[in-house]
Amino acid sequence: MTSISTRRLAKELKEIQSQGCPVGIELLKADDFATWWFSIQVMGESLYQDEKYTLQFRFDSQYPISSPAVQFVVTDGKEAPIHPHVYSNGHICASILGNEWSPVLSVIAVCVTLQSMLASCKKKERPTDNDRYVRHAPDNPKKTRFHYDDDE
Amino acid sequence: MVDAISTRLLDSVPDPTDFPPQENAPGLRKLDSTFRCTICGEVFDAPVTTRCGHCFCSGCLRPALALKQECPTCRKSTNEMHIRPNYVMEEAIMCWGESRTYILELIKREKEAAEAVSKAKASQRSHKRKRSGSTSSVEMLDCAPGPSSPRTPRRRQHSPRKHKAVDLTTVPSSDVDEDELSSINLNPKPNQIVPCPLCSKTVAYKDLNTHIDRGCKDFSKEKASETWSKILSKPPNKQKGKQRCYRKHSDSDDEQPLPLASYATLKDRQLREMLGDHGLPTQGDRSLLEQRHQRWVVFYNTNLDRSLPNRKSKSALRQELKKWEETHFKVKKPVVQDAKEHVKTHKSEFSKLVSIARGSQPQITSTIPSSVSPQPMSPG
Repeated sequence: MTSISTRRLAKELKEIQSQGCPVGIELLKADDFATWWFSIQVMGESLYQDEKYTLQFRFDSQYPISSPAVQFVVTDGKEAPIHPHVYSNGHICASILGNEWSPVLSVIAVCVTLQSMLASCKKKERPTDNDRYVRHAPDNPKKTRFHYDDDE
Repeated sequence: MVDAISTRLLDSVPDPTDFPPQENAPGLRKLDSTFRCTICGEVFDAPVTTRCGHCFCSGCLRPALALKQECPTCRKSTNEMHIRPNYVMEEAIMCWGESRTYILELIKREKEAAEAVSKAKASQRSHKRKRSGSTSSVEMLDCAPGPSSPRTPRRRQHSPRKHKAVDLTTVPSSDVDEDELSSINLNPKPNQIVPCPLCSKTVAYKDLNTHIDRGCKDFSKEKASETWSKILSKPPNKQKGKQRCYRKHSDSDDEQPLPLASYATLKDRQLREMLGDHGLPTQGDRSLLEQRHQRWVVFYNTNLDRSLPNRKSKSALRQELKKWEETHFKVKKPVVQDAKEHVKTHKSEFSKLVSIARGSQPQITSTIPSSVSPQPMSPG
């Protein structure tokens, strides 16, 4: 018997394969139902023109009831975008990944939200508490209790 | 890259993309996704509606609300008390379950027929070039969907696009299988017994359409009235009585949803009692017991959201819980694939165990005979 999370992810993958990803988002790797990688790019005019980032999704057996652990990849010479909600270790402070997660959201929905988060950025800067956070950050961003303040 | 994932699983998971896209099969993909829960992506199981009007599987919505009391779709605040079963949707998905396979089969057949025609045409062309005789024109005639021909099955061999353009005018919209019927008898009388074109069961011609609409399953009228009287005579008991009273009822009419337990205030013994009351295993550590009970409450209440004829028995629910536990708390038993290799790699451990066993042996044989019996006992 396959678990609900596996079946749900299989459906999402099937949809990605048959209908493709939205513009600027690409599936890089999905060899299992535990970790997926996407590349993400902001289309049109923005502070992140011509920059490409890699997003990592990690799923647990409670998905989609519990949110996936999403972060930018910062290994192998890759970097996280400079953004007031993105820490230099790749962790993202976005309510949709924490207390605003809803089980009807999907991997692609998260990608699109993060894409628009980058697109709407007005000033490239790290979060004010970046150094302090990165020093003590847990491996899994889901273990961090982010404080979501300036939501646009 | 993606191919590494077992494609078998991907194929075995049905989803709206099983249907052709909107241009080729208007509405079918959308219809299929309308019948699917936005949480699990499956066709609804025990569909329920929130007070904001959104529909989910009962078994998906309940755990979601346990974490956060808002509608997963619109985020309006809602809780377990607002959940209402959606019997019409339940009925609809039951019908969809049957017609889905039927429609997919029709689509497949039409595609195959279209392919066969294009193949036949291609081979004819080559025939014509080779022989350029009178035979080819006969073949052509045979395949051509002549409107004057009394036999019409060939009509279905058009490509889907052509089908739309031509057949909508010639075929009364009702159904495709008229073609096959007409090949047997052009005008069967209403009471004439004809074979069903799908299951080849014999049916009276006048009942054929209803027979096919039911996915070739015939159920008697009696049964329908029976189920109705069942539903009507037993309206779901909305009365909120004492939570314990359900135990006094017999198995068939306990319709009180189980209350959510606040596990923090429960002692291990109480929790085990609660599990025991429902005939569930009471082994395992505290967290397993809590999760087992929590999941049981979900399964139990979900079952009550099904209409009476669709409810599962308590033992079926227990089976479900067992399966759930097996997939979520996988007890990883190492399976020895290659026994010889296993013996080799663990040789040192085995020999250690053997020597320990041998070492203990003489002690027993030496102590027992001296104290209990004068004769030496043969070991084993």
